[in-house]
Amino acid sequence: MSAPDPQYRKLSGRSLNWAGLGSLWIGDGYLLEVNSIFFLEWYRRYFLHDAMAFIVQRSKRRSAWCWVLGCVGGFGLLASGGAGWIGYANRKEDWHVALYVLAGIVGFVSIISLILLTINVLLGPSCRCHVLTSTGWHPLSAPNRLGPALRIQAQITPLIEAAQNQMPAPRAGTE
Amino acid sequence: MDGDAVCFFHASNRAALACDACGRFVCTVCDLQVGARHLCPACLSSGLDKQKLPEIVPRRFLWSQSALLIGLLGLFPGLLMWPFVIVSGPLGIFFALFGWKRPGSLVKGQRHWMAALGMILCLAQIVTWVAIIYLISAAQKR
Repeated sequence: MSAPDPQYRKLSGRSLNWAGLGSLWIGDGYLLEVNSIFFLEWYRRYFLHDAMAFIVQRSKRRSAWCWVLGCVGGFGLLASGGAGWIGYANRKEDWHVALYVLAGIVGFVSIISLILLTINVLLGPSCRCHVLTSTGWHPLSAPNRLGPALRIQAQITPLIEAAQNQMPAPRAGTE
Repeated sequence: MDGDAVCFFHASNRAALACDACGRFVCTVCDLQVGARHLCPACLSSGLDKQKLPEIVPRRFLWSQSALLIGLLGLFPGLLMWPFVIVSGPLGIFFALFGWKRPGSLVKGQRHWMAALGMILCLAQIVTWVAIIYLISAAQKR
């Protein structure tokens, strides 16, 4: 009864969200959505013959994160510079070392924010993906960037159409 | 219907195909398609209970990754949270051995190297712990 695990092919794009690391795989006749934290994985399956469409919607997540990270990075750098300057101006006082430490910590956080901001910009526009079935829209955790999402859409759409073509055509009932 | 195979569960229905797991003939009512496989209700129910059908597994615990995580946690924060190290070494080795033959990630497969590395790190924790106890007791005797 126990069967070996089927083979899956990874589709491009992954996402980091509150539920963990999300990725999308294609199995034998279905899409497999995997959400994982380091020691646990959750799976959701969308059978191609149930799917009607793979929908990609642009989202404003990238610009929102750009604002947050830019503000933290920019104001952090200003604060760090200010604390360092005040510390330097009062270098004869005992407490100037505390300002240097504060400037270092805030500066480190600012630089991390600016690095994340750069990565966020380079990854391209953000989006949300859904699988549309007869029961409704099912949001996917990955991909969340437009480039990989459009590539997946181009790969998935012919598979969905092929799976739909294999289904028996509805018959006009005479009974 | 004379001469035709009939469904195992519905003797009045003509068989449409055989279950891919147990081989019983099933009718179109009993045919349950899971991915590319066709299963009978009994096999699907059994697979759901025992999580033996990879096509319907909802989640998996990754034993080898857990062993590695415990090994790493014991090395770094374990130095600060020393009581953690007492349990993390044996626990990591248990996870690695217990999960050695268990199925790993559905998509990435079993990663034995992680379990092996986790075991080495956990053994190192235990050896370090025993060495510390030995050195303390030796210092007290002097």
